[in-house]
Amino acid sequence: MHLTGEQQAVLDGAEGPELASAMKTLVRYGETFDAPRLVPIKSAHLTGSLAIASFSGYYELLDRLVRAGIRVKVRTTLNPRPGYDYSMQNRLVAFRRQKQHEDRLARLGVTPNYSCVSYMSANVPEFGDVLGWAESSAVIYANSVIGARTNRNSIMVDVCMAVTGLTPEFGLLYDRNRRGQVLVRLDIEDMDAAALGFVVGQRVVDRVPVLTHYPFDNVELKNLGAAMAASGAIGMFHVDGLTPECPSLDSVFDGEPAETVTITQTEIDAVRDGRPNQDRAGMVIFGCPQMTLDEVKHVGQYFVGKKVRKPTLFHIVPHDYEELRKLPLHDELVAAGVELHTHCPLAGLTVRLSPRRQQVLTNSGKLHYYLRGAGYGNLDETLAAAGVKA
Amino acid sequence: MTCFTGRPVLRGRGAGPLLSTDQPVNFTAAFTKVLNIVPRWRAEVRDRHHPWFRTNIAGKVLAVPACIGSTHTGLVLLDLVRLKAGPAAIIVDRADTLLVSGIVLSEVWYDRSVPVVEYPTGEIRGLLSDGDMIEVDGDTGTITHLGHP
Repeated sequence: MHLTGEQQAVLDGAEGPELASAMKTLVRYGETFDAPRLVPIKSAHLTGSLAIASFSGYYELLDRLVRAGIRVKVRTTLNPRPGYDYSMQNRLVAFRRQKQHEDRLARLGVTPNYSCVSYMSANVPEFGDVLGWAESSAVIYANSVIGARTNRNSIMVDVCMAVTGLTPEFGLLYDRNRRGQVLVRLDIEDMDAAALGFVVGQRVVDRVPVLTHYPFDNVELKNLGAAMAASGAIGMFHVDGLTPECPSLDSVFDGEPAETVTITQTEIDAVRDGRPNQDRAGMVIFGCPQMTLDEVKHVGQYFVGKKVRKPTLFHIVPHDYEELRKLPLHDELVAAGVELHTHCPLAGLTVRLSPRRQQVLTNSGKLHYYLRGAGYGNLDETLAAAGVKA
Repeated sequence: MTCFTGRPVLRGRGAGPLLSTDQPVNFTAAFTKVLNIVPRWRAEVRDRHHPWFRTNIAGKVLAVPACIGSTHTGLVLLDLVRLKAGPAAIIVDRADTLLVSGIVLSEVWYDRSVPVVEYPTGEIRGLLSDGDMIEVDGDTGTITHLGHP
């Protein structure tokens, strides 16, 4: 890899051993993928906001950076908190070092926005921006829907990018790797974006899918991409005539696509749990990735004037939650019995549910993948389970 | 003795019994469950979506088609590799950014690594069986079948 004189000096230790190791991490990461150089980033987004008690390496490394007085060089936003701050399990076991971890990140100069949907409020990139982001659902949205450029970067590698302001140039930073690889024909009458994303991830795994046209809104695109990046390793997708780098199929394929798959209604229906499991679910969970205000309004309208039959949890972007509090809908949701949270549902529920081994129902393809006991239902089914829609 | 030569991705040598799958592995979903907090279950797969559910990967040579899922993969791999609690080597059809990152982090910051070689794992599954002793050389890309258990 070719480094500038300044980059080489940092690698050689001119700014201390910690920054040298951060630079070396980017060099070794880049070399593996034949990156010719390091390029500047507009912003960073860190996935590692949770102090998960079963791991230690990441937290040790952050401590070393903090002790060396290192700070981030670009705007750097942060994933959600684990929630349930005062529960015994979180304070004493699962996230007992959370406060210390948040202090550490603050000392690095990270913006404490605590959201996995930073790209809609706290850290909004522009078309063509080069980013050093982690969080698989944010990476896929930034590439696909905004047209910014970032690889699927790891926890801690994201920190190395934030403190150097650089990323190795390879993969999705290049035009040639952003072109379509698999044409996905949609044969679907009743669209369910999260279930579709789950199936696309399984079928396409780590290539760039191009979906035939469907007028998804931004909330659907968020939930579609998040599911693709959980059941697969997809960092970018296109929707014909909708996403910015795919005005037409000709713009992403050279001639006929090398591979075409068709996804049918039957396949996306198969992601949904059967009726008995929907009825058995002890809780109904919305918001993974966190709900935006638009999404809260859309889902929340069904709860106004009703009462939930089962505990129903909304996980909302903290910025959007503050907006919600100014609206009558906030009190109407509280009156309906909806629990309004601003933390990460996966982290919160992993601990909240584990002693009871409880089944839950969610309309998130991502949460369905990661959370033990989380069955999937479409919006109608989750609303029915919550008891607010027939 | 059967030999395969793949593309070397990350340096070093490792040997152990083969553990293979035709399903992509999600390291985050596999190793961040409540049970994984117990050290002897640290490397036990707890992802119910995967056929390796309840399988321990410590000391094994993994042959996987791809790694999928969350960017927390590096959190998991960093600890598995630096604590020598994870796989002995990894063979993968196409190495992705997260698999590479987790191991590079351990290599750069803790001076401990495991080899990664790219090779079509479908072919390995066709010719070898789980439990066969395998050695992987990440400098040359050589995968050597040392024998049956």
